[in-house]
Amino acid sequence: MMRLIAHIDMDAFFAAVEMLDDPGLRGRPVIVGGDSRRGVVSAAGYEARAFGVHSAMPIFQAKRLCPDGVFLPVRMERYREVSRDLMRCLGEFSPLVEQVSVDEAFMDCTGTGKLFGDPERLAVRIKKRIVELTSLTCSVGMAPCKFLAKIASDMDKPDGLTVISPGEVRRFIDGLPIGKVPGIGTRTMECLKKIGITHLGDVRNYPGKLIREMFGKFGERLIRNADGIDDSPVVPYTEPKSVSSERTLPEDTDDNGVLEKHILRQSGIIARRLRKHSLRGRTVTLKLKFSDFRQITRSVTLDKPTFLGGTIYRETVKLLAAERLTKSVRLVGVGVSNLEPAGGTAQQDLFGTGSPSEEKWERAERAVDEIVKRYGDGSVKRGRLLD
Amino acid sequence: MKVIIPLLELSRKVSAISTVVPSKTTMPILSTMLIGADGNGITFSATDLDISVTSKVKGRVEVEGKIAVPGKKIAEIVKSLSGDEVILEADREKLTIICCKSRFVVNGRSSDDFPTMPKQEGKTSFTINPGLLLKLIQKSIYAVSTDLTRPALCGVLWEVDRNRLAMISTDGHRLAKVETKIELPDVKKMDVIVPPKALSTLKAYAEGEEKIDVDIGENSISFEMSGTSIYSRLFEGPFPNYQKVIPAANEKELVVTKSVLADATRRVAILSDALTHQVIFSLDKDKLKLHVSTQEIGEASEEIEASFSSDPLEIGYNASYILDIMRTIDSDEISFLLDRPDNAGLIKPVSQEADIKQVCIIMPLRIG
Repeated sequence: MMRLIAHIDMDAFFAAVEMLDDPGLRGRPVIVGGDSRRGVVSAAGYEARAFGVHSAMPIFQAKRLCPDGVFLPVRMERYREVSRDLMRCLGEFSPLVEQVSVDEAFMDCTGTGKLFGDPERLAVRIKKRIVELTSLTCSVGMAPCKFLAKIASDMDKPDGLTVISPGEVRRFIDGLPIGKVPGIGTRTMECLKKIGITHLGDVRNYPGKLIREMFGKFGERLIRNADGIDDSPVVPYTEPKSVSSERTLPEDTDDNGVLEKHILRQSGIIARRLRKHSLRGRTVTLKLKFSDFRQITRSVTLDKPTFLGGTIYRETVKLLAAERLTKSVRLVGVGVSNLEPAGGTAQQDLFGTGSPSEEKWERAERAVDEIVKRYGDGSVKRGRLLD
Repeated sequence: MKVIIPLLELSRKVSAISTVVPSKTTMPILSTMLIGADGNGITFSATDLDISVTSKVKGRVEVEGKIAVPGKKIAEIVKSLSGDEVILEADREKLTIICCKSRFVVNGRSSDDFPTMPKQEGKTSFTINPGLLLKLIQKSIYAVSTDLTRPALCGVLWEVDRNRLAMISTDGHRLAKVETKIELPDVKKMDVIVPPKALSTLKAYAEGEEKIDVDIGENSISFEMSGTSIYSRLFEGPFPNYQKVIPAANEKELVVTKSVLADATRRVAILSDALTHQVIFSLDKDKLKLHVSTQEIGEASEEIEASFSSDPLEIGYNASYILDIMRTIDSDEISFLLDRPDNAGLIKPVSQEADIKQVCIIMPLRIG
């Protein structure tokens, strides 16, 4: 049976939520991003995009382009709240909803024709329902597979609706600029252009063997996509594979003391998130981006999985100490992966492996979780993080 | 080489020795077993370099000789045969196996490449009754760790002394300790860590033997029986200081019939969490209630009669650990000495066997 996949992408989601909460912002160039002057733009409203501001752009540059912009801090909790409403709404149309991020989801709508009508009518109903529930607009792409649905949702933004019917797939692919294919960045695009591939359809006329040689697994996918084939299923919910936190520093630094402070703060954030989701992780990763934008990651795998900020901090600092910093650091990130369920129960150890105080720390950190839940972020801090 | 072996004898010996043949190896010769026939009879040998076994097989030698043949394949062939006798005939590096109307020709290797069985140069040696040794092994081996990051815990600690032999194993969550009073006048006091594979291999051969000669060296241990020699490397220590984790002051005593506790645990554990296997022990005056409550699965509980006179207590345990212990205790009743819900519990048979003293330590699962 031919599948019908929908891709729903909210329009300028963060900025739209800000405008929703403060109608006075409507029509003004809203830019959501890091609160320090060195942060990057997380999202820009369409009014701000007109000035050339786009996400991932450094804030200072955005300020230069759009001096009258309204710069707001990221309120992730609030966006998640709206996102939950959004996902609930999508669930009314299909049980198979795969949330890709806070503002983006795939739905498998195969076989809903009797219930909701043809794809176009279904898309209109979805859009209408989202407006009813969240007062926000989105763009919807409908296609027989995921990658085409994703491209389709981007074609007519904002408030767009594009349907690619099975009969149109071939023509659509022939006319699709290669850069629009998900996963193709500027570098891959240049490689492809060099061998004369400017549209996805061109891949079909090129020897598959060479594409595979050049791009390996990705090449394989490209060849299949060029034939309009993408079997990847809509996966309703995937357990998080890692939990991480990273931060662009207010100023580049090569001072380990300063870096350690950031690591301490991030370790705490990650640990709290792990505990919240009842997960422990075995692998701790340090990520550093240097002033020349070169980036490294270093990992260590522990004997026992942890969800303690203290342990994550200790291991990350060890990784940092093993690095010789030749350039100053611009961004520091901490991540925990290799996750497993923590459960409320824990097998006790005879010999108290690891640090003997591990268990006491667990009690302490859980107590802090409770305080933060009641009195908010920052109500309890490590002494070292006091300014 | 040409030998004729009764099928029953052959299949028993080959299946025992094939467990020594490693299933994956970088040295192809290790995946073979060596068949040898000379004036002393027929022998089968296998090794993975950590453990080596040579075992006599009863049969007729028609032509002397040696050949190394793929171990797992031979085991598979022998297992599949039906008949009374099997003829094994080697021609250069090919072995022909004939049983009734079945005929196999298996490509082998030159026996010259097969590692020679290491010579044991023991520092201390003693002779022991197989029944006693197997009992000690059975009561201690279950608690060994499989966590390769703590290699010393992956073996069984043997404490050998002039008047005592003790075996201890632990995976960090539980601990098994058995000891027997035994006169070993010529023994030098030694502590060694024996790989469980050596002990399970020993078990496969010890049945029917009258005595076992044990020889312990610096890095290896060997067992000599009438038809079989087993040689194994020892694990390196140090073994953790286990004495300090054996609780000495647990005063709350629960006495319960072993089979009743085991059956009830098995039943309620059906609904326990697949990962933790947690079963909660609720103790009240002369009452033990086992219960399990697992989100998304369900609940189970069972009350059993027991003798208990301390204040009420609630402790969680991994059901599989409890069942492992029940399997190794021979007494009808067990004594479970408890303390606080996050401290180690100590289980022992109410009536200790005459020659063996056994204790089992188990750490709780914290109740979440």
